[in-house]
Amino acid sequence: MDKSLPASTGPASRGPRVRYILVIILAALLALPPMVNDYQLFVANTMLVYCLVAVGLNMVLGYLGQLAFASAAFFGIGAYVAGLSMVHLGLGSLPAILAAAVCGGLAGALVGLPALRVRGYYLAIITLAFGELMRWLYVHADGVTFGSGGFNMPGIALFGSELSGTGKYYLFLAVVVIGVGASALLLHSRYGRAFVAVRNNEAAADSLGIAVNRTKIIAFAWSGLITALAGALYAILNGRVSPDTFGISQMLMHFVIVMIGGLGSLAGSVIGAVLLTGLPELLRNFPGLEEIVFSLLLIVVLFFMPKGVGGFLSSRLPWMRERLYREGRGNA
Amino acid sequence: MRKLLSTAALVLTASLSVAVTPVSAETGVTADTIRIGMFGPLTGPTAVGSLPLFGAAAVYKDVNAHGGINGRKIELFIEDDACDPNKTISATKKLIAQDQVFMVHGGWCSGTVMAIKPELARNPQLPYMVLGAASAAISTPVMPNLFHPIATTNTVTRTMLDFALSKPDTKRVAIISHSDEWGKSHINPLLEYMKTKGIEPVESVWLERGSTSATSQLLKLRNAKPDVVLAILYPPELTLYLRGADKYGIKAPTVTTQGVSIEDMVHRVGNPAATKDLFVFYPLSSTLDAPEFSKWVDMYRKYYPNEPVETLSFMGMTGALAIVEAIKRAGPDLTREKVIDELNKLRDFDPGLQSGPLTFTPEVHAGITSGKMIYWPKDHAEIVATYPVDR
Amino acid sequence: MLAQLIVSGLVNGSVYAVVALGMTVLYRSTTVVNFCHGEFFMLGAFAILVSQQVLGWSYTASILFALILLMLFGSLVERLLMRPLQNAPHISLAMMTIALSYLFKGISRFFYGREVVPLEPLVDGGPIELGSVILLPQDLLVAGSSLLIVLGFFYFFQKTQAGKVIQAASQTPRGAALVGINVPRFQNFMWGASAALGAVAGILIAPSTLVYPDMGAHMLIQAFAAMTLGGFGSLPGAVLGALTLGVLENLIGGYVSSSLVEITAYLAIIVVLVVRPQGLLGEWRQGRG
Repeated sequence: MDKSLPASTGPASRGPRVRYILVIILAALLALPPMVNDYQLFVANTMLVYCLVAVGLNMVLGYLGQLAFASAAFFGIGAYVAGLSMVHLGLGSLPAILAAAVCGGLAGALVGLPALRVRGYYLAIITLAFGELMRWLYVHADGVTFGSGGFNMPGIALFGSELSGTGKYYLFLAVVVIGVGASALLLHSRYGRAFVAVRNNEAAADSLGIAVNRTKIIAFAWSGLITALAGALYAILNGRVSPDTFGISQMLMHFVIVMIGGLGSLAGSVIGAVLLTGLPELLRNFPGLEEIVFSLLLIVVLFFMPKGVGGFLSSRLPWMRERLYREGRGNA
Repeated sequence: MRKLLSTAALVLTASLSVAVTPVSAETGVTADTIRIGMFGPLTGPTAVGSLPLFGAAAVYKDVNAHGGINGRKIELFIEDDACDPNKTISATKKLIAQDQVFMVHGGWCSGTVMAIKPELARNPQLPYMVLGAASAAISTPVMPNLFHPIATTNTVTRTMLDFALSKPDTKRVAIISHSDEWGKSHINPLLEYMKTKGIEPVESVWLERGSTSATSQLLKLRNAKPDVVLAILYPPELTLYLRGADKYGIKAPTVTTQGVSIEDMVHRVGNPAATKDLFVFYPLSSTLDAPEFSKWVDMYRKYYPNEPVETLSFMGMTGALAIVEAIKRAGPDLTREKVIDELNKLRDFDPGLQSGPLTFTPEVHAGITSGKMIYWPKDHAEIVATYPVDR
Repeated sequence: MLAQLIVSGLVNGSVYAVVALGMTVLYRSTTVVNFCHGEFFMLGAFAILVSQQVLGWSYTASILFALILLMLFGSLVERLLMRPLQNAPHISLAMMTIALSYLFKGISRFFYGREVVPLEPLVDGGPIELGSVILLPQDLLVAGSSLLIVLGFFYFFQKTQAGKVIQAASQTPRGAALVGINVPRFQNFMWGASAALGAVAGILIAPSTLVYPDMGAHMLIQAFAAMTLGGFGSLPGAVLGALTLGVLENLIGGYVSSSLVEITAYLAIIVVLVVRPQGLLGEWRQGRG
């Protein structure tokens, strides 16, 4: 029982304050580009991409509670589908992004299938293997994927004009707001509640009439969709897609972001993404320390803030609490 | 609601009072400094690629110690990219947009250099010199502001094959290679060149980076009974191959790329029998212990006394020397455009460091077109141009 | 060629077996999958390196040093970093081991990042030919030591009193505690033993593969594949799976394509989990497994 919940935190007292703060943040974000140089804008764009990644992974890891290591694979699928559809099929940027999202959703549903049979470490290993096999495919199907060197993205244009760093920023902001917003809506719907119910106790959820298998597939599919969307944006941001990007280190980065940010928390996802994308840039003058700092940070969070930075903040600031966020023992 | 809207409006208007970008005569140049940005893998699995960066930096530091160029000293901005293309992109953006460097000299892994080409295209006035990456795709097709002072994979593989075929009665050529971008950037020109000579490899195997064993590859090679094996491998895997070749009795000589140093390989393998027939593409003018080379070794040791001295340490120096020369020739009224012009006029530039002269023309920015081979038959390194037959 | 591929595959596989055994032993006794086991392997090799080349000790002294050091190290890791988390959800434990893996890699990269250092072989000697098969004395030592370790472990678990106690404590920590077995101390010991096993594998293989910070990562995947193939959680399964994997990699590389060697482990994992999740020898358990 969450004893620290004070009496008056119903939606009526929280709503306007949360909206207020979200609008302020949005206004600040909209006003950002003229104030920063090209490099800082690049970092900001990277943060936006990883916000989506964190939300996508959290869907399966935090809300559904499954130990799935497929996030880097979805990320890669999104990048490759977006890039290849632009290069081979001549799609424009928006259709390419859409195609990436759809393929990500399908891949997610596909990965969800073994999740119906296996759990825990078995699922972790099989999804990890899936990711590595995708990478092998990118390298060896080089007729289509351009092999180990990867390929450069064509110029990104929107409504006829080429996108600069600032243009990309606004595009990304729009996509991220839509993606996170849609995820929030999903989580507050009965599907989202079903995710958490399944995570907390599958048998009980089943007895309540929740279609457990369908719920899992939906969660995986949505996770794949969001993460692939992020992958498409990533390809557009970097201008280059290559297999090495989407391996185990990428996977671990995603995990660390979600663990530090907070499992099962949208705010946590954003916090984690911003923190861990900004940190390597701050550590530029100390080469070789990045791995050490990341791991120490993770250890500190695991010890002192098991709900992540997001969870820690929301226990201090009641208005930040998200209704679906619960301390879960989970089946992972 | 009104309070909300007015606060939002306040934030927006406050932020629209934009920061002003300072205007200077030429980016990265002041009356007494020139900013040069560098990047390379200071950390990570390919950190051996930091050695050429140190060598190049030693050149710049030495120039400063002798008074600079036309009264200006070089200010270095060094970034780590750990051989990760994504890190390279952000490092390059930082150097250009935040550190406001005059020019950039960097890149050891070909993948990272390929990844920043779009960024370089967006900044066509910025001169960029490759540090050590060798893929021919970097400088072909030519980019106006990208200069490639390294023997490309075209040159390297051509030299390797010519050398291999200079051994009498060599007909059966086998290949062992990595399948990553670096490997492929060698394999493709190699196979094409072999085709022009009417040869096909008798066996071709892939060995992945990070492998701990090469048994199946070695056995396949042995079965093919090659006269020579062309190895396109990084040092750890080359070590694995050489030891295994010795163990399984593959007698053919091994010819390999400039991605390894002969001293380092002999040390790593630790078995003279396994390395006496190893021939490494050598981009420098003489062996490291030759008296005519000592000035470079001393320069390196002066500024980086704790770093290993091997072939790789000197690979970035040619590019640095070319940059210094171009800046010198551009004169005191220094602009990026002038430096690019001067680089384009560099003909037969040979400070005595590399195995062949460096030439840039506006159409060809791959400046080195020849090289030799080096090997370690007994107890020291020797340079050869054709296969040493009297052995 | 077939005989050579199989024999070399068994030699490689025997090293995988020691690694997989170390992971399985820990998993069985604490239900934790230790993602930093590869780093115990790497640290064992580095311990030898440092004691030989920096401290100048003999090979034998270095090996003893490495084993004791890693045993203490594993113990420390358990006491300081894992025990406080014992009531946390499993994902936290897994993430802790992942964080440790990063940390150890980062630290060793800090000191040895730019070099890949060779170690002398444990035994010198030219290749030995047995029919069409060629072996190095090092190979025989590796295979022989692995065999000894595996047999030693089985003897320990099946025949000795202490081994049976450990088995009991693994199967039901609660029951064991009820009977008076000091479960935390037992788990601490198992972490130390597992780390020492990892170090042994590192010591065996380091002369062939050279010592570098990332050497653990590759080995971890092989160990996972071996455990999955043989049956996750089964000790004989881990060994059998490892030997099979070693041979399989060589056969696929030799007869199908050398570009498949790198993903043999992943293919094995997927095929096994789809076709027969309990692997060759394991019991199929729903849930955490």
